[in-house]
Amino acid sequence: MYTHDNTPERQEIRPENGAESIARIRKAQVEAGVMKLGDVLFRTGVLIPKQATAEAQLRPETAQADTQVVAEQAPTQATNMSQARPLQTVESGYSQQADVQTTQIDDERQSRINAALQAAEAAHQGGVPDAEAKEGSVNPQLQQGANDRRLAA
Amino acid sequence: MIKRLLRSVVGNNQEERDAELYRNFIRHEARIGGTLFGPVPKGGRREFFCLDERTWVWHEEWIDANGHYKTKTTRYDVRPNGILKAQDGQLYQHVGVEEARHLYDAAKLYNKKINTELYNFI
Repeated sequence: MYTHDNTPERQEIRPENGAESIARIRKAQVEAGVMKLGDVLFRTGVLIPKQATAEAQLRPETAQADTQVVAEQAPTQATNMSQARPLQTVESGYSQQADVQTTQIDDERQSRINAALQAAEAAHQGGVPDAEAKEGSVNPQLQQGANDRRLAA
Repeated sequence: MIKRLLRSVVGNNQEERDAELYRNFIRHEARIGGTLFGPVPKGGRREFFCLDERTWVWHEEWIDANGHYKTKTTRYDVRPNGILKAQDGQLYQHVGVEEARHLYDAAKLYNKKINTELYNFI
């Protein structure tokens, strides 16, 4: 669509320079991430299909109000989801249910993950850019400094 | 926004430029994600982002009551049978019901906001 548009601004986002295709890949990755998360929570009983609960049909407005109250009361140094939750929620095909089942993680896999994570953290402490604990993925926090300045410029 | 992200890409070849652009997209997503949970205290920084299809990351920096700089990174790993989290290199632990719900709410909102604010050109 952009290939016939030769203005400088449009040239920057033509598919052949990769921006649009990369954005599409990234967008699809995040959508898949949300879907996988929902599927797992559904399978483990944290969420149930919304149409299966009468309660869910009554909830949307009150759920958002509750969320906002909790977020406002969250500790100022909340560092994970157990301490804070988003200010808003978006509708989905799932409702929530107070039960979760988890399974034990394989020891070997856990060791590998922890080693990779520690390596990434160590690299982060040393300011080494683009150190990544997970194959084929990128952690923006590990190279935030210089790139932040460049983005802000 | 997209123009600014593109201008920052300086790789030597197409592969490098693509990789850098990919990282830039995630960096900007992380900033958007950091706004989902309300205001960040002065001197602090918060980021929340999807690292890949199975990993979500929360990063928080703050100044404690003694004036010391603190940081904590929480990594949520989505496994077939549940959600695990690891903080600052410690062992993984299971995520409870409430925290899992918060994560899911955050992920949905994150997806919505990046599509509105970042990927609205596609």
